[in-house]
Amino acid sequence: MTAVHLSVRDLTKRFHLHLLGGKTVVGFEGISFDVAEGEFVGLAGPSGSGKSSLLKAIYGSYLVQAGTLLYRCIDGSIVDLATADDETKLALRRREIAYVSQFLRPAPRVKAIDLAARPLIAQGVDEAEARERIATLFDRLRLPRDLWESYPVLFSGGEQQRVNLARAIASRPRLLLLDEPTSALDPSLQQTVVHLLAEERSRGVTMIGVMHDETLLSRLADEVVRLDRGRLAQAGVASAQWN
Amino acid sequence: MNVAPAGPWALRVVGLGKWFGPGCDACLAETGPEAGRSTCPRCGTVVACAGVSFDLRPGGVLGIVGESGSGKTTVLRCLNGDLTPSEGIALLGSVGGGERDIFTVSSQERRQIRNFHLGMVYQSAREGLNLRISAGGNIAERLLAAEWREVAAIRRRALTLLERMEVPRSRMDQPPATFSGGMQQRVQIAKAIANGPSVVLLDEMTSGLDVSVQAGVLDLIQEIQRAERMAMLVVSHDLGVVRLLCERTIVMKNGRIVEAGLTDQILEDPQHPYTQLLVSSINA
Repeated sequence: MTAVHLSVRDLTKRFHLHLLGGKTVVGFEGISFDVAEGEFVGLAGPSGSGKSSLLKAIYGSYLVQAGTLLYRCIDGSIVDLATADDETKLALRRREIAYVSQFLRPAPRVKAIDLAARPLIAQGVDEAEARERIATLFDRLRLPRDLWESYPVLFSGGEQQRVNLARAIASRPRLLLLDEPTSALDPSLQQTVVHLLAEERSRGVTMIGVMHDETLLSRLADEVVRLDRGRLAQAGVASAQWN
Repeated sequence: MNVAPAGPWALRVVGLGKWFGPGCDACLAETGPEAGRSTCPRCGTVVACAGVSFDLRPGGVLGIVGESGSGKTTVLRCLNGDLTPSEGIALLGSVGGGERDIFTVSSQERRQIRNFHLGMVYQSAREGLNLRISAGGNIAERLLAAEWREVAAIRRRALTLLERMEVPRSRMDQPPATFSGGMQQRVQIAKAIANGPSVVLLDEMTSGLDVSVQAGVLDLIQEIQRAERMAMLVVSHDLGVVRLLCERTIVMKNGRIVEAGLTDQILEDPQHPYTQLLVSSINA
């Protein structure tokens, strides 16, 4: 049996808005599901159902109020991401967990290829090799070569998204969190990304992905967790849901 | 608030406090973010900072943000030895096996620490540089303090550093008084890192620069930090600077730490009312 990579239990996120008289907004509530090693779990549901918030909570950009996020590290040890200290989270981000956000926030004067190669270089990969790996991915993602040495702040949304994807995939994470990784791409590029992600999954990378396009999601996901207004609506095998 | 986990660190600060004035029993209770002031209403003492604790890992970049008067620069100045703290301890991983409190060392040892282990970049180049001697001379001064003796080697090192900071070779023998603000800051950075310090303290180093020059300086800082794997403590009121440079961030208000966390968490999911105000102000 495949080991559980991430176990989400009773996870709750509420936003306490001090500037609005202490109003509380629920991000999600009482979410539980497991992700096995090498599995692709899709998160589905209407806008505002808490999908992206859940991804951010797993990555550590959001703090949760209750529940656990038990993560199995490469050495077999278990870390609760919900309560782990900052240095532990940073170490995991360097070595194991990558996140493709919906929008890239590039540094103003860093070239696309350098931006994408940074996590690799931080892992200790030789600079030439890091650039080489990124170049291969840029080619696959059909990022025009004349953009490689340009600044991504000037790129279109779709171009930025490809830089973002290459950056995350190249670092060979064990867990890849994807927030709408294809939303700004045309159908043909979407197919390319689906192929690329399927390859990563066959290499054993565990993935949790938010995708609005449920047809694309069904092609990748082993399982779909469906959210509705911050609650778990349904969890099950993808094909069973779609057919 | 306890910021830091255990583990290896380049700099550890525990319970740092600095006040100006006689101090009384009410000072700590009557000042701080809840009280909304830094001056004690009973005795008039200014509590510039109190109870400041954090760890900075080797090669890590930690930001301190907060409004003017929140105490962030006081923290840096205490660490650099420009101010004598009223309480607290600070340990450098590279000094005395990390067991020597740098706040209580002799003035001679203090100089050694400044010359070999710490670098500081001030908001104003006037403070960090001698504007009347040449750019190369400024760096040489720092190298001489760190017991570099060979003139040719000093010159080579100065040239390499200035070139890395994109200061043209032709300007090396000119005084920084004739440089633009951005170039002065780049010389200051070259000087601060000349001796390969384990920790660099940066105080609002891009505040006086226009946006495009700022971007260039920040880019160079990032590059050099990565290449040299120096730990950096970055004080700024600009959340954009912190977003770009820092993996972790501390938020200060009225001399106290109100929140600390991963920079993306501080910016995307701020917890403290003041941090929420700060973040909503830049996104507005």
